Formats: sequence, structure tokens, C-alpha cells
Amino acid sequence: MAEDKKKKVIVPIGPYHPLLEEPEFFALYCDGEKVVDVDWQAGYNHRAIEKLSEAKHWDQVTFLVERICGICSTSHPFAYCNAVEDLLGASVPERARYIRCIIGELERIHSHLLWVGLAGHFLGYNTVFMWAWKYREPVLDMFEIITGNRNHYAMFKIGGVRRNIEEEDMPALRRVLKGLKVQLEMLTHAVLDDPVLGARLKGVGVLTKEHIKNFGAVGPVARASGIGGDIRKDDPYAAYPMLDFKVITAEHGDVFDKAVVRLLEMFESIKIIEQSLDAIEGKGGDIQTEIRDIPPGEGIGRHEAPRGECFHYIKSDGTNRPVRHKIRAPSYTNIPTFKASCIGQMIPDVAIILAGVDPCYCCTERVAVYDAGNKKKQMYDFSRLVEMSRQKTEKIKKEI
Amino acid sequence: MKKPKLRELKEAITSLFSKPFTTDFPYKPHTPPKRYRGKPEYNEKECVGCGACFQVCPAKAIEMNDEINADGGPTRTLIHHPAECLFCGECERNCITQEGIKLSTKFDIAYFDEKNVQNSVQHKLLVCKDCGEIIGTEKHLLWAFRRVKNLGFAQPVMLSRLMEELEIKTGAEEKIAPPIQRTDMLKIVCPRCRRIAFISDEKKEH
Repeated sequence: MAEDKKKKVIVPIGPYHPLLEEPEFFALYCDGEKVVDVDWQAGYNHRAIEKLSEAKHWDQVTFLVERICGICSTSHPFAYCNAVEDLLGASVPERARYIRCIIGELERIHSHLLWVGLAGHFLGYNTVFMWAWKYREPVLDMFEIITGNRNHYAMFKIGGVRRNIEEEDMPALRRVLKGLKVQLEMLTHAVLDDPVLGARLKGVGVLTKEHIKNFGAVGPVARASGIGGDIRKDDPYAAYPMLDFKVITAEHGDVFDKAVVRLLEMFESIKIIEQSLDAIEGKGGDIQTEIRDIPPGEGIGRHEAPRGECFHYIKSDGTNRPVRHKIRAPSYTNIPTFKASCIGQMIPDVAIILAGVDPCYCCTERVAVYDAGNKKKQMYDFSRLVEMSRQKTEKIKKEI
Repeated sequence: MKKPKLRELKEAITSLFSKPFTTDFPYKPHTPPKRYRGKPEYNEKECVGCGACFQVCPAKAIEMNDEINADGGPTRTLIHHPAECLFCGECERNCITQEGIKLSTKFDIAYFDEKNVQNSVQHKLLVCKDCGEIIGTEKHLLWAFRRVKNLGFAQPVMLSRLMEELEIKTGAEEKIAPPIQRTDMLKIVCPRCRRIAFISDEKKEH
């Protein structure tokens, strides 16, 4: 295999700059325009979060794990609190459960809208990018009103939530959701009915059910291939067993279906938030239980983050710090699927296939083309890859 | 093919005639929401200098300096560094007086010199007259005295502080001539020294 690789053009994608979030490295082995193999490396920005959390109090770890990811910043505290409550056997007050669901689902909406916008941007549809991010803005404003910050909400606490959703904020939240539903309806149909996007995305980066099972992919990536894995249904936590919602699945496993799953999931999220608001409005009640100490033992917690299952394991020895904290984020299992989805595709399609999994896309900030045979090296930046992707869209537009 | 285009056209036209989605922030002031978590600020009147905020801060953004040899008596300074702050609100939640440190709605805290945005509070510190160990801030002791009410009269340091407040001369500030004796118990001494004074006097070792 190594002998083969030498004869082909290698396209490395990935930053080496440790300041970027989630830097990853992809090397595309190309035969002409066709990708024949992909290599992936991670670990360029090891932040030692697991080790750091061993030096913080149980309560302080929620703020640390919140900063693992900037976009799904509530998923990690959610899973961590589930893990500690699993160890404690503590029950969370009902109002706090619903508030947790509201925050988790609002986050799913803003994360998916961000993805839709970015996907449009990579394909040369900057209107989709502008509109999707415009619709995302009221959601972030709502976060600012409810929790006090647009991104790091600091809402989660072992045994409950730190802040209540005030009754006076609920009408505003309902209004935002109502407006969002109309806008999402328009956006969803605009994306799904577009013949150019259909031609561009259907059959691109296909992952079969076998691929998903072999790679252990989770979240919208798995659901797009027809595997209905969703922690909210499979292992209910918080208020999810009390709520009525559907798990969206699609059949083909291509990038188009990943978009379909994400777009339709947002409607389910809106449904969940509206039901939760109905359940807590005007009822009052505790939002946290007093937790004095954490007994020795171990616990696991899971949460269906916007990108898939987020897993936390904690071990306690009875002191006020965890002795072991293991975290597995969803992108970690989703990224290796590139090995299956990219092979046999064209270089212009690779940008959208990589984006289809929704890794934090600062990962492809630099692109360098190595011609191993001729010992020549060409350096491009990320815009070159996006440019190629856009040129292909333009071509399809003309054909249709 | 025609219908979807019309739908998007409607959105495009609405967008065209609606006001810009962005705000003119630097030119027009922005009012953050009521519960916005901005820069934490000390309330000099309410803060008692217990150091709870320093202990709970997950990012170690609060610095606590105890200066025993400062001019004008020992002091404790609590400094909040906004550069390290996570704006989590733990300092506010764990404040023993609930009013000592509060998150403001200030969001514009870019700086050239960190001193301009730092927020600090200074308190008079009580140190043991015998061994020099830190007992606590004067305000913290008085705060605790008001909480425990009459029980506070059993605590010599609290009692002397209270008498000082009522302008009664106690002699609590006087220096202790070693070795420490039972008569020094009403002076400002740490619990360890007070125990030594009490026990050694019982045994008549001095």
C-alpha cells in the first residue's frame, strides 16, 4: 500500500496550528481528480481536559467541560451531570428536567442552523448561509435572555440547573419559536426542492448501514443511513420520556440525507421546547436539589448532542474531586467514516462530505497539494477547496 | 420549479425592505438583557472579604493578596481579573453576604491596560498579636457576630471588635509580651494561641 501511495497525488487537508479548535489532518490520496484513499490524524491540540477535571471540584467541572466545544457547549455539562447523578442516584426536580431539555433542544436548533449555513457556504450558496445564520440569531438572543450568555450558558449543575427560566421570558421564547417555524419551513423547502442542490448532493459521500455499524458512527450521520439511534429515545434521561417527538431517519446515507435529517430534526426540537414550556409554565417548583457530598463509585452519563452521542464516565473516591473523568465526543466516532465516504469521490465533493459530518470546520483551514511523484509541492489555502466545490455547483447549475 | 422560487422571492423581498438585521453597535449603545452575565463587580460596602469568591472561582480569575507588613496595618486585597473570567456567576452565587460581588451587565471590557478594567476591594485584616497568623478580616468577624447574635459574646475577638465599634477601650490591639498568658486572651489572638494561653495557665508552667 505504501508503494501505491507514493505514485499518487496526496492532498493534505488540515491545520497544524494548535490554536484552532479541533485541528484535524486529512491526507487525500488522489488518482487524477478521484480520491482513492484517506488518512486521518487527530491530537494536534491536546488540551488535557480529562486531567484538568481531576484538579477541579465536582461543581467546577461543569464549567470546564462546557468549554470542550464552543458550539455544543451544553452537551458536555448535560452528559457530565447525568454521569454524576447516575453515581449519586439523585433525582432532579421536574422543573429542572424540563429546563434542561429546553436548553439542549435550543442548542440543537442553533447548531443545525449553523451547519445548514456552512454547507450552503461551501457549495456556493451564500444566500443560504446568510439566511440560516439570520434565523439562528433570535435563538442566540433567546439564550442571552434566558441564561445570560449567547454561548456558554453555565446552566447545568449537579442535581438541577443554576438559573430558572422566568415566567416573563416564556412568551418571548414562544414568539421566537413561532417565527422560527415559519422561517425553517421556507428554508427546508428551499433547500430540499432545489434541483441544483439535489444534483450536487444526492449520491455523494454515501454511507451504508454496514459502514455506520463498522465505524460506530452516531447522531445525524447514523440516522441519515437509516439507523435510528437516538439516546433521547434509547436511554431516556431528563424530561425526554415525558415528551412526544419523533426520531428522524433517512435511507440513502448521502450528504443530501444528512441535510434532510438535520433540517427535519429542528422541527422536532421546536416541538419538544413547546411541550416543555407547556409543562412548566405557571407551575413553579424547585430547580435544584441540594447535594452535600459525592460517595465513592463510578457513573456514566450520555446525552444526544447535536452531532451525536456524547459520553462521560466519572469515578469518585469520596473526595470533592473526580479521580477519573473520561469523555468521548461524537465527532471522534464520526470523523473516521471519511475513510468510507470519501473514497471514489471527486476532490470538489470532498469539502461537502467532510462538512456533512459536521466536524468543527476550522479543521480544513489550509490545503496543500503534494505531488509525491514529481517531488513538487503546491500550497493552497482552504478557499481553494471551497472554490473547487463552488465551481462544480456552477457547472451543475448550467447543465440543469 | 416555479413555486419554490416564488416562496424564496417573497423572503428576499421581505428581507430587502426590513431594517438591517445587524445593529450599529459602536455608534449606538447596546443594552444587554436584564440577566446578562457581564463583568463581576465588588460592592465595597457589602463585601466582607471572606475570600469565598476566590475559593470557588473555576478559572482562578480572582486573586487574594494578604499583606501583613503593609503600611497602615495588615490588609487583604481581592482583585478580579476579567481576562481570566468565565462569567459563570459562581462568585455571586457563593458570596456569603449575597451582595458582595455581583455580575454587572458590562460587556465592553476590552483594554490596553488591565488595571483599567480590574476590580478590587481592600479590607483591614486581623492578625494574631502573638504568632502573626491571619484570623480574618475585621468586617467578616463583625458580619459573623451579627449572624450569631448573643452567642458572639463568647468569642473574645468578636467581643473586642464590637466594643471597639461602640468606642469602648479594650486594649485588644496592644502587643503581647511573650510568653502568652491568660490575661492576653481578650486581645486579638488566633484560636491556636488562645488555646495555648488557656492550657499553659491551667498548668502553671509559666
